[in-house]
Amino acid sequence: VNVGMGEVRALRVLLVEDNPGDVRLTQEAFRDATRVIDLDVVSDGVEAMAFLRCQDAHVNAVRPHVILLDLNIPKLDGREVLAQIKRDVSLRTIPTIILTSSDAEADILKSYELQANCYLNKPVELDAFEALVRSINDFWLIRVKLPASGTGG
Amino acid sequence: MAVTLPLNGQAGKSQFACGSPLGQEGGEDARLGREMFLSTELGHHQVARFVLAALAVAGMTFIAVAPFAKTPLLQVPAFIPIYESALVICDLITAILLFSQFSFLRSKALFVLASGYLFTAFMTVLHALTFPGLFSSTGLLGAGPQSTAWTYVLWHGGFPLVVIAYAMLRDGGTDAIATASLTRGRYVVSILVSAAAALTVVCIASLFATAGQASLPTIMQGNRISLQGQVILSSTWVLSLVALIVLWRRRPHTVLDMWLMVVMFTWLFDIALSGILNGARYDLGWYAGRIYGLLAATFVLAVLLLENGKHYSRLVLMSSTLSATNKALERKVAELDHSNEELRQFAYVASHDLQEPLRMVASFTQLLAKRYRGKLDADADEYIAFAVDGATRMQRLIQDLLAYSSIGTKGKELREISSEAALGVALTNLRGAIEECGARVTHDPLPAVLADDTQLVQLLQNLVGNAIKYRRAAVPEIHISAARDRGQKWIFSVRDNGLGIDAQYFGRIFTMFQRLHTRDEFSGTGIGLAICKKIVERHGSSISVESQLGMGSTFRFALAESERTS
Repeated sequence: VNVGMGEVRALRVLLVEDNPGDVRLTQEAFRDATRVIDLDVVSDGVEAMAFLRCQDAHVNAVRPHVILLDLNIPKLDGREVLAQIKRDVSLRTIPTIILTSSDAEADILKSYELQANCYLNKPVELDAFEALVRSINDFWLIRVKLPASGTGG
Repeated sequence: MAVTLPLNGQAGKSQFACGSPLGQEGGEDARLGREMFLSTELGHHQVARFVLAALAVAGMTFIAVAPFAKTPLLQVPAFIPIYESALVICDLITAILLFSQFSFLRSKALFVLASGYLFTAFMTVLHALTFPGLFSSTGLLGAGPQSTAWTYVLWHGGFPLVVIAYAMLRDGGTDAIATASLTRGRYVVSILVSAAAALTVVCIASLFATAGQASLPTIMQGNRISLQGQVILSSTWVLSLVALIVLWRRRPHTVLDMWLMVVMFTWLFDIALSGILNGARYDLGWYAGRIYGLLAATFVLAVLLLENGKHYSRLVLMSSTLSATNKALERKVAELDHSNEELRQFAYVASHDLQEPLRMVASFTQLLAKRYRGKLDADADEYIAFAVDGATRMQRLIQDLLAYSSIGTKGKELREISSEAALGVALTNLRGAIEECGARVTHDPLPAVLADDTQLVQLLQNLVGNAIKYRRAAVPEIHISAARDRGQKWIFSVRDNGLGIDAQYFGRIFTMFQRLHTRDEFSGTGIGLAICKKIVERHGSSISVESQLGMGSTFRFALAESERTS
């Protein structure tokens, strides 16, 4: 991925998460991971859409390679954010990973119906959470071939 | 030693609590049932007062009339048809009312008595038909001068016999009320049988009284009663007296018994006035006796009718009470449903929402422990360790609570599944623990059952997991088997050679968060068996344990077998 002319470019991840504790934990976990990651954080659905569309305060936002999306976030619900991303021709190619504490069947089904790229449950234990973030890193940011930035938009 | 837990704490308690009041209600029902019927309700003081008043009036009238019994009065031939029509109607209605009581109570005694009333009705008709000067100068049916008198004798001798039979057959009014009334078909048949029997007896009596009258002793000499006749009439009087005595001796007296005694008493006056003390037809004694006869016929009828009215009003009252009770009950059920639902919601939301902040506490204390162990002083390390331990345990408790509450909320419908496959899944989940201690887990062939597969896996996993956890021998041996119950149930047993449980703890081990060991000995929140109990209860069964300290334990529960195998 992103290996152009032998140069390693930083991967950009957008984290949509309203709980500062979770943000911090995710940051800490990614910091432990090997890759260089630029983690942008927004704390509600409206801001997430503004960031992705480079609007308002986010005119200078850079398009992320991967989105980590919590379902239960203020203003615009995570499900609605997901639906808007997947409706948007320029945004729908960005892999969107649901990362939530809900393990309700209905949430899982709904997310895949809305074309989520995968659904992950936030583990309760710190070790497990760190392991999960590591595996996100290993899979989505190392193994997976991502579309070139800007595709479709 | 074995203890079987009731379906669940609540239901079990209420069942137990219901036990004795239910019994009382049963008794109450029987008492109410008895009170519903004249023929079964025990005569109380109020009835006795009425009876005595009736007897006093009848007795005083008798004393007043008796000396003038032979006084001749005007001959009113129309008196007989009027009086006897009234008698027939009264007797027929009484018979019908008694039959309707019989249809509920299925008492032989009532059947006989009702038939007796039919008999008197038919005999009265016969009496009227053979009465000289009524339909013909000598009476119909080829009646001779003795026919009417003999009809009277057979009629007034027959009914006391019926009353005696009734008294002998009566069960004392203490028997339970039959729960189901007769079917319509059987009811009609029994009434037909009764009518046929009464009619046959009356026909035979009429043959005696008409065709056979010549060979019978003479009672009437013209309109006067012969000496022989007086002896014969006296013996029918004695029969009524015997019936009265038999009724009196068969205790306890029902209301019907009491009024039948009044009837027999009145009959004594009737026969005494119109057959013994008087001299001829159409004298004072004769008329008065007939009036006594009519009164006697109306007593039981009047009381039965009054009773009917009383029952009707009681029915109206009961149905209104019942509908009010039903409404209250419905309200209570709705309230209960609501509060149950709220409780479920509460447990679920509480454990879900508690988890979020707790995850923060746990995660960051763990992060603190990881990043700063050895960098602060020894005290700080210890404090952090306690914080991590506490938060971790709290997390586990909440997860268990969530698992416990979701048995009810997230349960799937029961379907036919292979319990052997469920055990397979459970053992796979436990593979780590099994391999770690080298446990030998064996099982018999296990049946297909009606169950929620996820929950059955959890149940077996908890029981086998416990057996491994609380092991005594170096090599834990666990055996799972299933045996057919008498009904359509399979009794599952999970037997181990582990530590065993002291009998005094049997009740406690199935309670949520009850632990018999310290956390240092064995980890866990103490919810495993509570979850087992709840799962088994959701499957309509109960879980029990049989164990001896140091001798291993056997846990048993039942599951319904699937239809296919039955």
